[in-house]
Amino acid sequence: MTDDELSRLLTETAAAAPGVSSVLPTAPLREAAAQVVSSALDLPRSDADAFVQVDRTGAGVLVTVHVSTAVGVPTPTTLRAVARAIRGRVGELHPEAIAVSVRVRALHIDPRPGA
Amino acid sequence: MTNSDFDDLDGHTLEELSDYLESGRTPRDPGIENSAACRLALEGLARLRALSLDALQREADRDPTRDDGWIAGLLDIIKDEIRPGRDIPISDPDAMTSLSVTEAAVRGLVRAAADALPSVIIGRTEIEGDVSTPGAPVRVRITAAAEYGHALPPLVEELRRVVAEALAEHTELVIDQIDVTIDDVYRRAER
Amino acid sequence: MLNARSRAAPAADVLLGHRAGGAGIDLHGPLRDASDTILASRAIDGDLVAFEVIAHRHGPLMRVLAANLLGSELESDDVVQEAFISAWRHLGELNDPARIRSWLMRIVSNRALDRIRARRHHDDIDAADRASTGPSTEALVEHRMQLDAVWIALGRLPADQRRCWLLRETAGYSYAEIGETLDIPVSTVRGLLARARATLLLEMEAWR
Repeated sequence: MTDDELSRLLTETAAAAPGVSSVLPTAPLREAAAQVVSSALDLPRSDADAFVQVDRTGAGVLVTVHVSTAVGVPTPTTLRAVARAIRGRVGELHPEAIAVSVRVRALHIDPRPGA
Repeated sequence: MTNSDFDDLDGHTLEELSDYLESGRTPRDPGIENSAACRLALEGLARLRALSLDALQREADRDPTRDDGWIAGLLDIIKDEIRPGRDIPISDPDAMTSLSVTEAAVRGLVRAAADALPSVIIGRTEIEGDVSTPGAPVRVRITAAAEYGHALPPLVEELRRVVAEALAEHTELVIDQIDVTIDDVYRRAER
Repeated sequence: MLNARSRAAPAADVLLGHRAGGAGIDLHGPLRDASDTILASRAIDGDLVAFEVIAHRHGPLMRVLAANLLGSELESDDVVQEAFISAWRHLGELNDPARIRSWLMRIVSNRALDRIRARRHHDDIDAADRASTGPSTEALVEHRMQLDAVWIALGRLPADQRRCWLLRETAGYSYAEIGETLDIPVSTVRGLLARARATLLLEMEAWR
């Protein structure tokens, strides 16, 4: 599995965690630039966005997730749920990974009640 | 009116009068102030200045719907450029997990909590203190405008309460104090 | 499980509080009544919605200024958009939030002048300067004749006089700053402003 595929799966995992309003790109500028290039060249876009950043560090993996949380659930609860879900998913997909570090950052707290 | 109207300004030029007007008519120049022609020209210059901006503004108001396209494009470009500010940690029992909320998110939370209140519009939100050290006391400073005709003390109390509640629910910050400064008053527009 | 794409995609809408398919401006709620000071303060703190309200409030005036400086409406939307992007990036330098409008007017003027300078390098300055956007006569309204008179007179001024006047009177440039940005001596700026002032004053007084 490529890091890009892993990122896409983990983006889905994070988005499904309770209290998450949306998953935001970790590198917005790079993402935007890539989109401009692919639309300029009329390249097909990938099926799902790969917003979660995956960095390999020797035998370990560092996963960085940026989210917008919904105001209806306490943000600390949401962030812990995201970290737990990510950790579980990486464990399933890469049981050999010894050290899995997870960083979850809320960039925005969505005030919409229904979000 | 003829071209000669501003030719005889009792020995002064329009440019001098314009400079005088820009200096706020200070220090007072009796030679200008005591000349009827100069005072008439000063009045005209002041009106012209206001009209120049008004003329642009009226032209701008002519088609209020015209601008939507570029604004959507603008927002799309700058939305990724919100400065996140400091990282405010959230605890987690797992040592390999690090959780945080950005300062920008917390400021947005404070604004949203305050925006839900009627009769007050919040301005600046500042979080002072060492937000990156868990348990360190921080102070929140807020400026706000109050709707005309409302008693301020209950408004300020209500504002403090909703902000404190939102911060307690979504962060682990230890709030020492919430300072609220009402520095403006507004009237709700008829609509 | 919800599809990641559908939940992850509309980041701008999430940050702006827009609902799908809804027009943003109707959702600004109390901000429509907010003063420039409040809106600018919030924008400095990173409030995109407040910045959007500022763009709606002052963008049209900036566009008219840009069109008049450029002598063309063709590029004015681009110039105003560039000005707002630049403003967003430099909001931290705005010391007095109450002065956001004049600050924006200066930024849009600078952007328009950049375009004029770029045109000079393409040697088509004369053609561009001749294409002046004077207002059409159908714009005349029975009342506020004076305002119309000034607007029409502004449109009829030679491009260099009009630029100097707008920079001075609507964007608050000093004589020295005008000279520097237009690359002309301050004495020339004084002369151009003096001529513009005399013409406009006479046109305005004629409608009293």
